[in-house]
Amino acid sequence: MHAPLSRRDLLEKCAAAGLLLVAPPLRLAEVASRFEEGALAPRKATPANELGPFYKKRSPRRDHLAPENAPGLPLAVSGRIFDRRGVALAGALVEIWHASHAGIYDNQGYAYRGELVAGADGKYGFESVMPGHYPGRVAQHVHFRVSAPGHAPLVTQLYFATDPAFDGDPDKNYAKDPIVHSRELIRPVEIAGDPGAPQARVSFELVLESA
Amino acid sequence: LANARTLRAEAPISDFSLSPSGSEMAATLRDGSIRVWTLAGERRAAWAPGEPPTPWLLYLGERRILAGGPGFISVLDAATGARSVSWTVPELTGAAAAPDGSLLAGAGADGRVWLWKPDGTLLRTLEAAGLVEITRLAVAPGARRIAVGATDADLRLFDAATGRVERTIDLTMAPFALDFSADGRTLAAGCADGTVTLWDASSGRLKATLGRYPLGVGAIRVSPDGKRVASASVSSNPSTAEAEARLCDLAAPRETSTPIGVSTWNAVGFAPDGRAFVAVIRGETVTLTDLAS
Repeated sequence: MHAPLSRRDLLEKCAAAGLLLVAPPLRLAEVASRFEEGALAPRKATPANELGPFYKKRSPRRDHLAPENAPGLPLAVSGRIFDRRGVALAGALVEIWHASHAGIYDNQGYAYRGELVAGADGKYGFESVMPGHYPGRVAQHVHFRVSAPGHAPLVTQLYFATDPAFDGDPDKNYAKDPIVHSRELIRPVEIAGDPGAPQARVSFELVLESA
Repeated sequence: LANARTLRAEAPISDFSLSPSGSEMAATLRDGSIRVWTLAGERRAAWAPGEPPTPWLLYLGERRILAGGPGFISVLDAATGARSVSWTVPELTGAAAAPDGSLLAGAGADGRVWLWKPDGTLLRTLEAAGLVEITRLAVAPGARRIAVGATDADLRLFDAATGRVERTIDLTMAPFALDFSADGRTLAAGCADGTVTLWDASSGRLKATLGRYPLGVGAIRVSPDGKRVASASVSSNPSTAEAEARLCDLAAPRETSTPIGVSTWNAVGFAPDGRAFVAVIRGETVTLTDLAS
C-alpha cells in the first residue's frame, strides 16, 4: 500500500508525467506553493459581451471616471483579475466606459471613460456614477476591455441586479435585454456609506483566457 | 431636385439607399414592399417582392437593387422589380457594393466579410485577428479594395484579390460612414466621435481632417470629381440633439452646414447635375434638402 501523496507530491508527479503544464512565467514550485496555500483555484472565464459602438481609444489613465459633481448615484466597482488557473494578473490593463446618469455617452471627450492598471495582486477599482439607461438598450451597463500579455483580450459588460429592467428578478428577466447573454454578468449591488451620501458598491471579478 | 422636398411611403421605412449616381433612391418598408423614386420625386416603381420581407436594401450599380432578409439576398431589377437571383447567406449585419455593381461585400455577426459576385457566387471570405463587430463596409471602385470599419476603432483595408489586410488605420472611435473617391485613391471616414477624415487608400496615411460634428457621423459621400465631401450627423439621443449635414469644398477649404433636425439616420449624395443633398428618413417620409455650397 502506498503512502498518501501530499498535494505538492501530486503536482510534481503530474508534471513529470506531462499531465500538468505550467505556463510561463510561473515555476512549478510556485504553483505548488500557491496551491497548498489554497490561493490557486481554477476559475471559469468571464463571459464575453459586445464591445459596442462607443468604444474610444486612448482614454485617460485614472480611477475616478465621472466629472466633478456629476449627477447620479456614486458608484464604486472593484475586483481582481485572474487567469483561469487562478493566478492574479498583475499589470493587466483595464479600459472602462459607460453612459452618464442621463444615459448619454461622451463621444467628444472622455467623461465616464478611463483606463487603469491592475495592482500586484490583480486588484483594480474605480469610482464613477451609476450609468443611466441608454436609448436603445434595456439595461444599465458598464463596458470593460481587459488585456494582459499572453491572454486573449476580454471584452465584456457589467450589469446591476438592482436595475429596474430586471424587475427584481435577474434570474428570470436577464434576457429582457437581448445583449445580456449571461446571467453571470449581473452583479449584486451593496449600498454603503452615510444615509445622506450613499454609494453603490459592486464587486466584479474578471477572468481571462490564455491566448 | 427642389429644396426640402418630402417623399411619402405607405409604411415606415426600414432601410434606404441612394443609387451611385445619385439619380434615384429606394426604400424598403416594414410592410414588406419596396419603393423607388427618381430624385425629382417621381415614383418610378413600387412593388412587393413577396415573402419573406426584406429589412435592408442596397443599390448594386445603377439598375439593380439588392434586397435582403434573415438568411437570404435577392437581386431585383430597379425598374421592374423582377428578381433575377436569390441565394442563401448567414445573417448579415451590413453590406456594401462596388459602384459599378461588380461585387457585393456582406458583414457577418462574427466579424467575417463575404465577397460575392452579383450572381451569388462566393468569391472569398475576409477575416482578421480581432475583427469582430463590423460597423461599416465600403468597396472601392474597381472592387480591388475593401474597407472594413469596426467597433474596435481600427479601419482595415483588405486587398480583395488576396484577402489580406493591406493597412490598418488607427482611428479613435468606430467609423459609422465610409466612402471611396471615384478614383479609389481616397477613403472618407465619418466616425462616432464626430470626426470626418480623408485617408490615402494605398498608404493608409491621413490626408485631411475636416470639421468635427458634435454628434456621430452617419453618412458620407465624396463627389464624383473628388473636390467636395458631403456628410451628415446622426443623433444618438434624438430627444435632445439635433443633427446637421455639411458640405466641404476641398479645393478652397470651406464648410457649410445645414440643420436637419432630429434624425436617427440619413444619407447624402450628389445629384447628376452636381448639387449635393441630404436625405433624412423619419418614419414613413424621406425629406430631400439641398446642401448649400
